[in-house]
Amino acid sequence: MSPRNVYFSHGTTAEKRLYEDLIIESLRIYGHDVYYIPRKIVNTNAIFNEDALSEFGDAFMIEAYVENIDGFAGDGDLLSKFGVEVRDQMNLIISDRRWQDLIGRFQTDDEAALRPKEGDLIFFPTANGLFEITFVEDETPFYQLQNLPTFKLTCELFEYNNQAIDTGVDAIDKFETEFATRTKLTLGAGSGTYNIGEDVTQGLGDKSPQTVITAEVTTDSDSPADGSGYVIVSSITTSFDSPERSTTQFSITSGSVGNLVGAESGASYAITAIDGFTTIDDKDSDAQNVDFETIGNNFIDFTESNPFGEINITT
Amino acid sequence: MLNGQYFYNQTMKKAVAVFGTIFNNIKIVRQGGSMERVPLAYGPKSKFLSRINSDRNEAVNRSIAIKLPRMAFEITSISYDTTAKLNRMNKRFFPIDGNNTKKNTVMQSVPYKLGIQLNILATNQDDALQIFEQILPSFTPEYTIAIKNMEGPDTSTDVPIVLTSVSFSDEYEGSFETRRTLIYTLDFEMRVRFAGTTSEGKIIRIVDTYYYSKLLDTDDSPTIKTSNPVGEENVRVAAVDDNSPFDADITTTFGFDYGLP
Repeated sequence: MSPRNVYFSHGTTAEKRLYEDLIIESLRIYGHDVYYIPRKIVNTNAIFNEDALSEFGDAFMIEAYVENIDGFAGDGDLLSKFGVEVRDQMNLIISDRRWQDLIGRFQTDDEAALRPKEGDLIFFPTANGLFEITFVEDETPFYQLQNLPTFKLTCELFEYNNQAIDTGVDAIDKFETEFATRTKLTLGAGSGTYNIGEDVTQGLGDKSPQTVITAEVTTDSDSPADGSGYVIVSSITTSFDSPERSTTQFSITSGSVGNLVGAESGASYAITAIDGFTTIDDKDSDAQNVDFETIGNNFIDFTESNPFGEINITT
Repeated sequence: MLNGQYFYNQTMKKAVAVFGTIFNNIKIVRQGGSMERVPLAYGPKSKFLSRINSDRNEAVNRSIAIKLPRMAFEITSISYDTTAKLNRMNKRFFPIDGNNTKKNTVMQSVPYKLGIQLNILATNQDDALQIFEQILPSFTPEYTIAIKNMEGPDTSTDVPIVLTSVSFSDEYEGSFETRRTLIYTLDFEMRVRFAGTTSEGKIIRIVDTYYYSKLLDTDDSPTIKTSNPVGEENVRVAAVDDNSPFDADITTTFGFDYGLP
């Protein structure tokens, strides 16, 4: 027999549902719409226990209460030797039941482990911030009615690491097109106009299956139908996926090296030049790679060779 | 004070630019992913400019913490290099265009050791190690690069860059709310030379020398001879070509003309 007082309820199913309903209603009144973006780990590094390559392919809207009322927590904007860092943090409260209904049922994990995961992302449209979940507290409030109705997500602004972000939500997908490493491809003969955001591919070599290089067209491309333009692509991937890592890249069109073909537009142009160097600084205000190249080459006597590559080789 | 002449050879600026050029094209590759170049920056910077520049892309303002991996370097120390000191009376001469009778002179430069620290910040150990391994083999422990115009016009100075120490910090322990910080630190020593101002001077075209020959007697006791056996005690060094030293310039061949007038 339970030693607790039997004349008081300690959480019936109906009470728990009522309690959850009240929480959800409060969250929907006082909360913000945020996007929950699950992480898909493509490759893991079994030695260093890290994700070698991740991508983000879905976004689910859910209401969340921002616990920080005076602004973001964390260190805020600061200047370090690596440039401007924004170390904003925030705590979000979301309902367990709502997460399961809106997001959990689309996840393929073991059902018992279905919960928000550390490493997943939250896009907070109000502040235009992409946050990473660093910790999920699932025991607050602590069994008041013998249940755990909410998750408390501790989030901080995301350290972007060239991951592919293709959720179908423009406001989220722009993080990839704006921040991913870029390569400028100069176009030659061909036809059509590439769409911003579409995938473009180039087949390399005669071997079967042919190695295919894929990338995404960014917003700064200019590819008029006369072929006088260029496309700036990001998130280059290769079908030649070897554990030793492939360094296969786009190549200048010639012989068995094909044209650059748009997956949606059908545009097809020859690639006449590839520049992966001068585009580094485009969207990274702190990067000075091109400045060093420009100024430093005035002073370096390149009768000596550069250990990390020859002068002015930018492909 | 000093010589009162303004000069600024931008030695430190050249050193920073050259150091940056060495590391500005390092790449990483992820399995199944693309090759990426690693952004590099000189760490110290104007705060207000950094803030303004970080805001220039309004669409993505305040949207991420930072893009990684990336590298940054900064000057950490400057000290006199006593091991590379040369005679301070050494001079370098440089011709002046259109002037055959004068030349530019730069006094012996002074050697300094410039401590430069390169930091690699990454989210993944594997990213950082790719960068790290591309750097280490080239420094044995020095890598020498030739810098133009460091010690005056048309000079090329070999500047050794010595990798003096390597360390890393991987702060992964602690609560889940705190961020993992992975930084590799490489300390270099760049042997630069600071040259002074360029001064203009006339070219020496005639040297008249009057001397006594000091010969030894047969018993090895020093005796000053009052007359030279071959009568060459007075020597003029002058232009050989036409024996008209007033037409000489710094390209003229000089010879000896015994017996002054």
